[in-house]
Amino acid sequence: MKKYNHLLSFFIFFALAAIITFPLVKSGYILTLDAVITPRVLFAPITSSSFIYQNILAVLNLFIPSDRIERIILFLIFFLSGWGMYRFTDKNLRFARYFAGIFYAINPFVYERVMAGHWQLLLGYSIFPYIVTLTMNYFHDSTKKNTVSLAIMATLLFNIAIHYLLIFMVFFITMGVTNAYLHRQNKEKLNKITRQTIFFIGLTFVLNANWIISSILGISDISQAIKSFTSGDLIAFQSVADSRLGLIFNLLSGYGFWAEAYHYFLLPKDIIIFWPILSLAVILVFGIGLFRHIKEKSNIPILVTLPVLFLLALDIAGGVALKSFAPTVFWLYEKFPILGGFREPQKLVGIVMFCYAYFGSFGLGKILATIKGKTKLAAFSFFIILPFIYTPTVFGGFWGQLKPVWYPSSWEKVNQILKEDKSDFLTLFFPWHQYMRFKFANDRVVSNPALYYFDKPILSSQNYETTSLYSHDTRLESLHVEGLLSIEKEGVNLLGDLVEGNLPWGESLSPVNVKYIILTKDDDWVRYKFLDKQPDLTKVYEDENLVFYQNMKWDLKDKQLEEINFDEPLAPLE
Amino acid sequence: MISSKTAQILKYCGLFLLVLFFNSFDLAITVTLSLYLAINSKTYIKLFGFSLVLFILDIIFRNFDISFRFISDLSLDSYILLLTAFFIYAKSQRRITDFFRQAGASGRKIFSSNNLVLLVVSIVLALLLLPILGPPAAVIVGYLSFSYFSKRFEGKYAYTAGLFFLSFSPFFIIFKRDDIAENFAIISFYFLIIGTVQETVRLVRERKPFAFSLPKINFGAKILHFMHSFRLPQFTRKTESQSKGATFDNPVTNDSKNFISDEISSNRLQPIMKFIIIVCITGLLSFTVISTIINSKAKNTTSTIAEKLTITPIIPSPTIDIGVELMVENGTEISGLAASTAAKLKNAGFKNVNTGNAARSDYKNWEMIAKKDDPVLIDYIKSVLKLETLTVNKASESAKFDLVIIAGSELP
Repeated sequence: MKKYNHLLSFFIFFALAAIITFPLVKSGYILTLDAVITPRVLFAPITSSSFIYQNILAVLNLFIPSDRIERIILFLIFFLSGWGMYRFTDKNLRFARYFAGIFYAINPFVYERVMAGHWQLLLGYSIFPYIVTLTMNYFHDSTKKNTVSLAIMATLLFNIAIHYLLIFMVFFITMGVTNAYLHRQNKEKLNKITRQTIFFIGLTFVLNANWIISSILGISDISQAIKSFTSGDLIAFQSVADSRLGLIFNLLSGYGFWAEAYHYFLLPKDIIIFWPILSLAVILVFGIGLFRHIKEKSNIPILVTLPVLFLLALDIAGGVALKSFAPTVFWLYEKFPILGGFREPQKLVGIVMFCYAYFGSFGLGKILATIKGKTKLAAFSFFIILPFIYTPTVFGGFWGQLKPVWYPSSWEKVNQILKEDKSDFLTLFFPWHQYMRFKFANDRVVSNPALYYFDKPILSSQNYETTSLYSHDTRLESLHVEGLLSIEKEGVNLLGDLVEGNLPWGESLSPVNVKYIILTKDDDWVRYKFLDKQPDLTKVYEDENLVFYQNMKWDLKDKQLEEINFDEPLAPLE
Repeated sequence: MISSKTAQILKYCGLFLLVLFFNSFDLAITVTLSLYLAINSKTYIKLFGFSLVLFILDIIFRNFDISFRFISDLSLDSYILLLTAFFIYAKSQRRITDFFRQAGASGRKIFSSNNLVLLVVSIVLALLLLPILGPPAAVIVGYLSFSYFSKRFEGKYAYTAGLFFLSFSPFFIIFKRDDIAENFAIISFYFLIIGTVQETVRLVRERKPFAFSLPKINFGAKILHFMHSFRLPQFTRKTESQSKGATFDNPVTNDSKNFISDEISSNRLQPIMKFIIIVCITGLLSFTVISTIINSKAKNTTSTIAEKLTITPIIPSPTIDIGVELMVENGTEISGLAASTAAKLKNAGFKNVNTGNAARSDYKNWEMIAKKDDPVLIDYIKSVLKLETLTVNKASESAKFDLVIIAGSELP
């Protein structure tokens, strides 16, 4: 019977994941806001925090096309999260466990993050129930085997989604303190837990040494990213409130992602107007479950740890948007740079969903135990269907918003030309935006994939262009381009000085080694038509998707360099 | 050798002069008087009344915009008097003094290890709820969870907590931490309400078992109990009715039954009524403190970084008008300060940024002259420039620029 249940649940969640991903099964790339998949999956350097995960994908890409890998990841997100949560909940709850699994897999948080392309975060979210189970086993029975399993899984989790490092740390510490208090009389058990914890920390450090050491030295991708974050990031990427029900209710309902303010994609609450009632039903069943847990004092470590995690997640997710908490948040982010990983704190709403699913199953179990007959069936049906009504937009290819696409053939043609040119150069990509609407991507706003698509170095914009945070880009080449665009459009340079006369683009781009310019016919591309009038730029190729120019003055920099006599002492400044 | 009476007078004079030196005349009188009464007096009713009078005067003065040179803040004075009244009241109540004596002496009954853990858990819970619910609600939830887990529902705990918060409130006002004082005042008010509700519930609950359990005890104990509960003539009447065959379990006449329950109710409702009056006074005083703080905030034109995000838009960008025409003027002798400031603003998204020199070069603080009072925009600029303080002045509508920022020598 146990095996049968196990198998049944496996097939149910497999089918659920298959139904969600089926409309996207057609070949092609699924381009979302931040996830830009290109034909090549690049190998990660050893200093990367995603070293293991990224390189597994890169190796897989040697045998499987990247668009197929993308589908596997999407499938795993839904399957692992549903089945993982189902298995994590109490076996005695029987059918109420399905509510936990389905709700954890299908909720507004998951939907928004899929649409935003934060798939790595979601993959971490989907394996989190397994990590929690392992941690509980570890504290229950601190054997070497459990310690090693937990260290390996934790490493995998950090590699997939580094954000879970902090979450796991808080979870582990709270769980550890609670267990230590509960077993304060049992010295032998306490000693065992202490020994194994030291071993666990040591092992986890060794397994993650590649990125931890490089981060301490300031040479990893994480340390570079954290260094660039400012208080402006916290303001720009703060959680957003619902216009009628405020911030906290929005977060409690699985919403609050900063992108909601920009209407990049459809929200489930735009379709389901009675969503607050559904939210309240989920909160209610969560509350009943939590109260039942408190009353029965069952599984105290998890009873203490999850609510602490829940409230902390809600606090930090609120972040600077919680007006009374904002100064504290600024202070915390300043004093603990590691928090910079949560510059966009709504990611923590995943923990809220976790607690809903876990305690919700207990709540539903309690409700089902107190009622009988048809009412019981109705209540069960309501809560099983609830996630589907609450987030219907995950179905039908994410409500028809996601469609597999291919890159235009002209992109490949240009790539061939670039590859054939063996010299060392940069290719400038216009329009000068990091996020823009690409026609070939169903006219959706996505991150510019050019950087990863082309085989030669691309100089493209890395500006966020939000009003409170324009950019972190400090590359000299990009600042140079920004300056030229400012002169071209407004007649002033970056310092606000007036510059008269026509700008010779070819000559002006040669100091930053730009040999080619790609102008895709997307977004505000017509504003770049001035390139056609440039005598030193030659149009090499044009179709309905892009224009490809060659800078005829590219070699000017060599001539300029030749003219400089480096042996001659510099003239004194006047 | 100075006599003890002279020493006392000197002590009070010293306190008076000290408060006068650091604060104001009225506060000096209040603090000195309060200390004297707290040590020597047992009358609290008059003090409650006096604090209420001061509170009413404060409202009148505020509404009619009347100010006196020697009075700085009447609400603070009434607060201190109220606190003193509470203190004297607590001293006079045996139950409360016993409670504190018990807590102080054994340290076991109230703060056993289990209770201590529950207290820590409740404090952690309150801290975690603080950002979401705000200080008052978070503290109340923390208290209620402590009551629930420790099964202690007596109002004395709420009163203690209320007095604890109330006692700190004036000090925060003295040290210019109005925000904390405001929250403490609200919290103490809520605690007093909760305490009153808890006491009422307790008294109502205890009424039933009292009436029915009495006949089970022996007559001597019954007499003692009655002597504590009722006045002697009433006791005589009751013993008379009992001698006629009436018991509490089986009363003979309806009159005697009603009489007893009425007496129990009236005796027990008295402290409740007192507390309700106290709560009302505290509530009104809390209101005064809050309104004082709100008014002072509104008058304050120089905002601090701590306030910065209290008005940050929840939706990040669309509310900030970056199309404004800005002028950054160098008000110092530091060369390039205007240019570097302009670069920061441009990097933050402002398109129309001009630079120049101010009329003077001895500006210490950063100043801003704005055509429109747009707090979101002003706070955004402050956060971009990492300024702790920024004095904002109003520009005329005919001014050339929407905003003029004068860079001062106090670098962020």
